[in-house]
Formats: sequence, C-alpha cells, structure tokens
Amino acid sequence: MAYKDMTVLVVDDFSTMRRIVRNILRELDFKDILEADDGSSAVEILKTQKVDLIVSDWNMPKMTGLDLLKFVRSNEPTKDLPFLMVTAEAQKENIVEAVKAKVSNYIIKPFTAVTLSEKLAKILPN
Amino acid sequence: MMVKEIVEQLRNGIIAGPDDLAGIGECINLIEALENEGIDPAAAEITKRVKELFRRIILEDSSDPDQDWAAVQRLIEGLGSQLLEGVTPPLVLTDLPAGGDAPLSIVDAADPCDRQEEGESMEIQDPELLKDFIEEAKEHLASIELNMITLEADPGDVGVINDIFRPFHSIKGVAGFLNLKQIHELAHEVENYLDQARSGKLFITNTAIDVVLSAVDVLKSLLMDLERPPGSPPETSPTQLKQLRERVKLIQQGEVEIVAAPPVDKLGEILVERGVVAPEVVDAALEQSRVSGTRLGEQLVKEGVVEPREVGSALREQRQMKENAAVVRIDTQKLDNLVDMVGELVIAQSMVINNPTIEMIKDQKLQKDSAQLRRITTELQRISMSMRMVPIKNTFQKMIRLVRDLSKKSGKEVTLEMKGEETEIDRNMVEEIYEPLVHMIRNALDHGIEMPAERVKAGKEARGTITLTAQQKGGNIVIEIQDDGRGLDAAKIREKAVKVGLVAPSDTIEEGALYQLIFEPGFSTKEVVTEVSGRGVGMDVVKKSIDRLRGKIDIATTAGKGSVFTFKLPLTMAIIDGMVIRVGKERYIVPTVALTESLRPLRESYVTVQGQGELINVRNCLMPLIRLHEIFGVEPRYRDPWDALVLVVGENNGAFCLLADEIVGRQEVVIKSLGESMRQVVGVSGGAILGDGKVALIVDVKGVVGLHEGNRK
Repeated sequence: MAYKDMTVLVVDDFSTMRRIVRNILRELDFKDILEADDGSSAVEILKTQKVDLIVSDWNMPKMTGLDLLKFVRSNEPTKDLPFLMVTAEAQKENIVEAVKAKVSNYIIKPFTAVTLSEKLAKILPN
Repeated sequence: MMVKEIVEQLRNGIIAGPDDLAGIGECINLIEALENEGIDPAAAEITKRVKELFRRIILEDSSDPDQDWAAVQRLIEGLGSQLLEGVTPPLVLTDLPAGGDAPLSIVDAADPCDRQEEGESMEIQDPELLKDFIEEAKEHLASIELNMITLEADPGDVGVINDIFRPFHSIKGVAGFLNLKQIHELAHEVENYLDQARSGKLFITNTAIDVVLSAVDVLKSLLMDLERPPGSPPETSPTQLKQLRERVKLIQQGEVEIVAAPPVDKLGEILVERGVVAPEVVDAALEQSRVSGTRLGEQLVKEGVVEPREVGSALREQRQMKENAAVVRIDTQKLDNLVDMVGELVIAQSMVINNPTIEMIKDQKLQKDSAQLRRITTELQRISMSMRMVPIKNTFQKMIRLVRDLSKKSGKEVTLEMKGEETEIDRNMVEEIYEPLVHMIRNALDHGIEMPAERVKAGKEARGTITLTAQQKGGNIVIEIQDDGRGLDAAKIREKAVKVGLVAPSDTIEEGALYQLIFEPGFSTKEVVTEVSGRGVGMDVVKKSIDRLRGKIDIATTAGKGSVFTFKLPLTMAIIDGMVIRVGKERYIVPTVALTESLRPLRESYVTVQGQGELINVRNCLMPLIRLHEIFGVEPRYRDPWDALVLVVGENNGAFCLLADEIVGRQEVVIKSLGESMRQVVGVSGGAILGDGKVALIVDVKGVVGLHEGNRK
C-alpha cells in the first residue's frame, strides 16, 4: 500500500508538535493524517476509523504513549497496528519498556524527514 | 508456563531480525518469564547477557550490531541447552557485551539544533508554524506559573511537578525541531531538573522555585525576541541567559534545604500592604475563592489583578513571618498537666458549691458569686482544652493526595469529598488516627469501589466517591468513612470466618457482629495481594488503634450500594463523656462512646435460653444480659431487669445489656489512672472523681463483656 493511501494517526498534546509531524509526513507523501490531542481521543478515533499507522508522543497527561500502546496491542482490531513512539533523548531508557509492550519502533525528537522515512520503512508493509 | 514451553518458543525464533522490535519485545518478555520461574545461576548469567545485548540493539548503542545479533542467537540456543539438556554452552568471548553492565551514557554528541538547514527549511515551508509555537509556548508558560503557586504550597506534590515538567518538555521538543537553540537548551536544563524532582531524586527547594520562575521569565523574553523583526536587538542578554543556566545547573546538583509548607491565611494582607492590590479587591476575591473552593492566591491571579510572581513572593514572606511569629513552644507534658489541673478545679469548685452546708446559706451575694465562679471555671476548662485541640482538617487534607495516587495506580476513578473538616480533635489523638484513616481509605478504594466498567454495568456512575465526615456528637467526635462501592459481602465474610476458624459452621451470628469480624487478625477475603492495600492486614491494626483511643468502630453496609465505617472517639484522652449509673451503693461510669441506648425492659422481654443464659429482647433482637452487680461483687437494689435499668452497649461480638439500678446522670469526668497495681484489673479502665468528691470506677465495656463470655463458658 502506498503512503498516499494510508491513514496516519498523530497523537501529541502539543498542537505545534502535531503540526510539525504532520508537515514531515506530508513531505513523505502521506495525505490522510488524523490528529488526537490525548490518549483517550486517540482511542475514540481508533474505534470508529481504520488507521494504518500511529505516531504517538510518549509524555502525555492522563494517558501516556505507553498506555496508548498497551491499549492498541490488547485491542483485537488494532493489535498489529504499526506504532511509532516519539520520545526524547533523555527518556531513551523508557524505550525498552515500550519494546516489551510490543512497540513497532521508536524515533527520537527532533528528527528529520529522512530519519522518519527510514523508521517507517522498517515498520510499514511496502 | 513451564520452562520447557518457554524455551521451545524462544528457540523457534520468533524474531524476524534486529529491526523486529515487537519480536524482540516478545522475546524479552519470555526471558523475564523464565527468570521468574526460577533458573539456575548459569542460565541466569545467560539471560542477563541476552537482555543487555537486546538493550543495545534496540537503542542502537552497539559497536557491531551484526555481531551482537549473532551473539544473541547463539546465547538463546545455549540457553536452551542449559535449561533442557543441562549442557552449559562454552561462552565465547564475543558473546560477552563489552564493558559489562555499563549504563547507557546519554551523549549529546551533536546538538540537534546544529542541523541548521532542517530548522530553517521547516519554517520556510510553514511560516505559520513559528507563530503557532510562540502562541502555544506562551500558554504553556502561563500554566507553569499557575502551577508553581500550587507547588509552593505543597512542594512534594508529584502530580503538580509533572504538570510543570510536561510543558517544559513540550517546549523543548518543538524548539529542537525549529532550531531555536537558546530556548531548546534552557528548556532542556529545567526539564532535566524537574525530571529528577518528579522521580523523587531531588527536592523542590525555595531556590529551585525561584530559578524555575526566572527561567519562565527568560523564556518569555526569548519568545518575544522571536516575534521581533529580524535584525533588531534581542531583549534577552547573553549574560542573563548564561547566569540563569548556571543557576539551573546548581539546583540540578541538589540542595539540602527542604521547603516547609506555608499556611495561606493573611496572604491578602501582605499583598495590600505591598500596595499591589486594593483591600476591597482582596475581600471580593476572598469571597469568590471560598465559593469556588480555590485558594486566594489563585483567585487573584485568575482575576488578573495580581501577577503570579507577586503571589509567590508574598507566600514566601508569609512563611518567613510564620517562622518568626510570636509563638510559644510548650512542653506537651506541661500542657497535659494544666488541662488535668483545670479538670480538677472544675470538680473542686463543684464540690464546694454543692456542699450541703454552703447550700444552706441563703445569702444572695453568695449565690451570685458562686454562679460567677462556676462560669469562670467552665470557661477556663474550655480554653485549656482548646489549647490541645486542633482541627482535623490537616489529617483529612492528606487523604486527598492519597486518594488521587491510589486511584491512578488502580485504574479506578475516585473522588474524595470532605465534610466537617474544621471539627477539632485532641492533638494527642491526631497522630493516632492518621494510620487508621489511611487504612480505611485504602480499603474503601481497593475492596469497596469497583472498576469503572463494573460500576457502569451496575447502573452507577463510573466515578466512585469516598466521603469523609467529622462532627462532634455529645462528648465525642464521630468520623465517618463512606463509599458508594460494592458494600460488604456478608456471605463471603461468613465463609471466610468459618474457614479461618473464627466461627463454627453452626453458629448464628447477628449481621452487625459478622461485619466486625473483619477486624480480627489474619482475616482477609481478598486472595490477591494488591499493591494498593496489601493483604487487608490493616484492619486489625485499625481496630487496635481505635481501641487504644477508647473509641469504637461501627459498620453499616448495603450490598451493591456501599459501606459506612464510623469511628466514635472521645474528644480528648483525659476526659470522657460518661453515663453515671448506680449499682447498689456504688456508682460507676459507662463511657457514652460505647453506649447505644438505655431502657427499662418489660417482663416479657426477659428470656432465658438453654446454653445461652439470660437474654433481653430489644426490638426483636436477643441480647445477653450482663449483671454488673455480679461482675463487680456488689449487692444490688434490684435483681429483676424489669424493675431496674438496662444499658445497651455494642461490642465486637454483638450487643449486650448491662444491668444497673438507675442512671444518676451524664457527666464529663477526668480519667484518673488507678495506678500500676490496678492496671491488670479487667473490666475497669480507670477511676473518676464525681462532683461530690466520691470516686466512681469507669467501666471497661470490652473487659466486662469478655468476663461475661468467659464465665458463661
């Protein structure tokens, strides 16, 4: 499936960050980009729409990226959904936690379109 | 899962390659499952190495990923041999991760902002982006300032520290993308400090608060610089920035000083004095803050009449004041002695005034003066007792945080409501009730309140409520812990009681007594040890604490609707509110905290039952009759209950009727210990001097009930 036909869900509580990720995804030819400003809204979106990729921040209030990942992996319709966790250099150690919760891959911010493209190539069927 | 099965799964190579993070995750989980099963040291050594190698592969920290990958595969194979065939594989040198267990060092080799091109191109493509960021960053900074006020009042509140950490983290993140070097670095430094603070590695000190607030100011000015046309001189000087970063580095190293929580009264006065705000404005805000339940400081900032900065610094001034304030420190022993003496004074005064010889003197002036004397001593007693009383508010407030933490941990949604927190309690008791209250709340949250899904299914709101109430009733303080959870399961309790041997299968137990069984040591109906409340071990400790305070616990519950636990405690430890009764020629005092009611039974209410002795039927409830004259060995005036009086008391094992001749009156008495030698006497918990100077023994209801039960058997 080509990137332009996929639906991506970007989750981050900072709207500017979502905008940045959206811009980079557009650079990579993604067209259908959904946004959620916290874990629970992401869950709502996942219930009603078919999503092909999730890009989520780690640090969010109420429901962290890890919580969201655990939900996605335990929810039958989404359990194999490609999930990319966005994290900061200082929180790298948390990645092992995410791996144990079966994250597809992770990316450290700030990142370039090139880096994102490499990571996505590893986790998206192409 | 058995070790064999786990190893088989491992061996079947479920990982597609070093990029298959999900597969690696699965593998790590399996390995940890193995470790939990318990494996021999040789195998444990292998699993340790495998985990280390995986960590490196995941974090891309390995010098030769292919080699590490091959090593992992070899080690897993070897693990299989070790565990299933008992053959220890020769560990090749290359299998050993170089450097042992050296922690991952975070090397900020290249400053992400040095990728000049990236940042700039991002702006060019989306010029709105920068504007967006500045907007949002300003909002974040405003929220940080507000939260700092809360943090100053409670520097230990992890929730608030988190609420301050996140915006700094977010600002740092975006600044990185946008190549805003100064903002990125500063936010990063503060974020580091806050990260340590939220995990408890560093304290929030006075200095730290100042530094964080300064950082907020500098970030604000850096943002303003961004808004200026390019080329114009920046608002923020490089030296200012440098100094601030030095200060941040200092607080990252930690200080010894710990902030003490300041009280928030008179904040308005300080602000008015400083000329920051008008008195009427403060009064209006105070009204509003009471209505909306916010603090005065927050309210004033919300109204925009005062800068958060001002509030923060006023709070600090207040703290200084408190430390220098005119307080007298007093030895609690002296205070206790004073209170005792005043109690004696009340009695002595009463003895003089009620002296028959004095009473016979019909002098009007004497009457007036006596009345005055009585008024003064009563007031004196009230004041001296009030010196020992503190509002229970402090203790209740600590529960808010507890409920918040517990509900987060358990995944349940719970609100804590409080009523009557101004109710005062003897300071000697405040320490004692803290632990029992904590246990009760833990239990209410863990065993009482259901998970949101379950609640909704039962037609309740997803959010559960625990209500803490305190009030003074009679001479006692009554504290209620109510929850709208699932209530106590009588059948389950009975079942467990039989299992544990507390109750024989054939015993009939009255409902009230059944619930009281949960206070027996070793009783717990939860098989699973939960992190939230442990094994329910708290309950017998709770009972002991309440007993020690000469109080009582009552339980009321409705299956499916919730439970109410009531602590009835005497107002102070030295004085009890008692019912003075007469048995024969002697007078005794029964603490009202133990008393439910008193009545004269009808002849028909008196029953004897084979094997159970004498019983009184009180509203269709049969209660054992305890003859106080037998227990205390005195000759009573009446032997038949229908001529005399019966006092209904509640104890662990149910309700009992104490037989007495008559009730003389209700009185507050100072408890006097009977001395070491008498301490062993069961059934009596002390003595008191009555108004006429004679001594009355204070009945230890629990002991008397115990004696009665013992005699019966």
